[in-house]
Amino acid sequence: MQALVVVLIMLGMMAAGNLLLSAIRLRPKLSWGGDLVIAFLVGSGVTTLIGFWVSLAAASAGLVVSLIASAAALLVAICILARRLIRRFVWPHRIPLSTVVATPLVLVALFDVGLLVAVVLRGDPGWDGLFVWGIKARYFAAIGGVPASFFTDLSREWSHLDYPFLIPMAEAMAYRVLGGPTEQVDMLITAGFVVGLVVLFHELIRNAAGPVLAVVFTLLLVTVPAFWTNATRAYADLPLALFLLGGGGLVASWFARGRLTDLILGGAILAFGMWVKRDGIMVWAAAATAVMVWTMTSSIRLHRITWRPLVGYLVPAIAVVPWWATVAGYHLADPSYAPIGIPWLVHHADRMPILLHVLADQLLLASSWGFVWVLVAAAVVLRPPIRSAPRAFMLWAVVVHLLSLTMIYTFSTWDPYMNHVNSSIDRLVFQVLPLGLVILTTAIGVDPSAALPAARRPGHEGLRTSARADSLAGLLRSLLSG
Amino acid sequence: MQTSVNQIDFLRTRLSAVTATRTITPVTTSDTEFVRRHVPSGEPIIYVTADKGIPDLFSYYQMSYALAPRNAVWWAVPAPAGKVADWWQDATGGTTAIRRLASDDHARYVVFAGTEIPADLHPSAVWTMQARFAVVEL
Repeated sequence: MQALVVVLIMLGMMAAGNLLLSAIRLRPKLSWGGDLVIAFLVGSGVTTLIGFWVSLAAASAGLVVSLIASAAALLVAICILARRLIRRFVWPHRIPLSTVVATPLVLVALFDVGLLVAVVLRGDPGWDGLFVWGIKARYFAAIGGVPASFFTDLSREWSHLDYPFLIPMAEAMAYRVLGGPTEQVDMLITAGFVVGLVVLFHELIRNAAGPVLAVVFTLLLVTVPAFWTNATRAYADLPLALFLLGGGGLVASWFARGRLTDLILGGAILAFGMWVKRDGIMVWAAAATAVMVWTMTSSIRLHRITWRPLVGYLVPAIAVVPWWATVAGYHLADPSYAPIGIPWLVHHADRMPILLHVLADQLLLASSWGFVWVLVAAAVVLRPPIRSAPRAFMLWAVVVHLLSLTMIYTFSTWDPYMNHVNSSIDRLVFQVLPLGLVILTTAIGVDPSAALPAARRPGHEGLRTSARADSLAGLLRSLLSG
Repeated sequence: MQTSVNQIDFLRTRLSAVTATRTITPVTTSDTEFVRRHVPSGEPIIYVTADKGIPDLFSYYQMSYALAPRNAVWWAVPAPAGKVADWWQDATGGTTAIRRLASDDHARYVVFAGTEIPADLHPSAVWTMQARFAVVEL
């Protein structure tokens, strides 16, 4: 029952995202699997944000509105899907041989996903899963939304009242439907994000470097020890890694093929990343800087201001402004960090070389990362992203995120501050692992600028499109995306 | 989340045992049920532990988690608090200090978790399993 409720809620979020993207013509057009994961990211962000906005007006109505939005979207999606299925099977077309051949492979893939979910469900929410994210979910589920009293309950200040709510709201939606909180739900939702991460990672690499490397690198991802550490606890770091992969991948795609919709969608998903965990601001800001530099250089080159990409990227972030404003309004500050200021930075500048050393040690820690970061570094050195804007952007985003960690810990108020570092640096590094692996893939793969579906590039019409349409994946794609 | 290295080690040890039995952390325990039964909804609680170590911290987090948002739960330990991650309030001084904290936090209920109750306070309910829990209404 719990699993069914969580699956339906997550499907509802995916349906909501899919309908919204179709309605505003922002479909990413990566592949049917990739598009569905992107739809889930957008849908989870939108439905939980709507719940929060409603809570600001009527605290007890937030979750109900989120649930109604998800349920309505799922109903519409089921109707559309059923209509397409009836059309296809009442008046069946000839089923191509490749579809018959692909069927057992798809079944094997589904079985593997089942195994992945089973392993995740054996995990435990963990310390932060319960006492940072789960406690908020309990709070919201009991009230029905986010009450003002939540922000003033200083007896629970240790649980970080200023952290964002995507994960707690999603958990609270399930708690509400089930009639009470249960920690198994936290792991079920984590499993959904884990599957989403693996699928989107595979689809992005398949588009960039082909199906063989997609399988190889997906296997590489799931053999990284840190992947399992993060996949088997209900923290927000793995979901954030998925948002950074999706948003970063789409912004890179905009650099490759220039579709403004990719940039807007990438900007939205990176903004929703901040709604998952505040750490998402680093990649969001890195991408904003990259788009700003592109805007300035292209404006100079073209002798006119090319403002649309920058505005298109920044506008979706407005969605999270009410939450930032609410947190600021209650003067909630994380006591683990000093206010950002030059005097503190100067006084603690001696930490920076130490922190750089710690970061390097962390990246080389084989028990957490195997040798993936060494491979990423080697790929950057051997094939520097000089003439590839998408690869340069992804490298920029990952480097900014990693180097920001040294800056963040410079402002740590813990004494000794190394306790703070050691308790969290591995999780923060993990947030950009998938994006780092995409850099590695595109260095090995054919054309780095191929981080887009070949079928949509000039001169490549037909070949992969028809091959995919003949496969079972193509059948599903046509059913789901129309 | 503010957790020190020792806290992480403690959690890992704890979770490895939990994972081995393939169960989710039992966050609603007999302790939390006992307090829920004897403290009315909406009443803030002062939660007193003997020490500020990891087991005490976990016990406090667990109690606050289980009672959210029903009751505000404030942690009190007879030890000075000064560092950033010191989430407890100093209850050094016995009953006088506890009454002062209760007054500051608008609390009428004090829960003593595995620690001695001052002689001048009288528990309204006592429950003992692994540790002795007592609820005192001031």
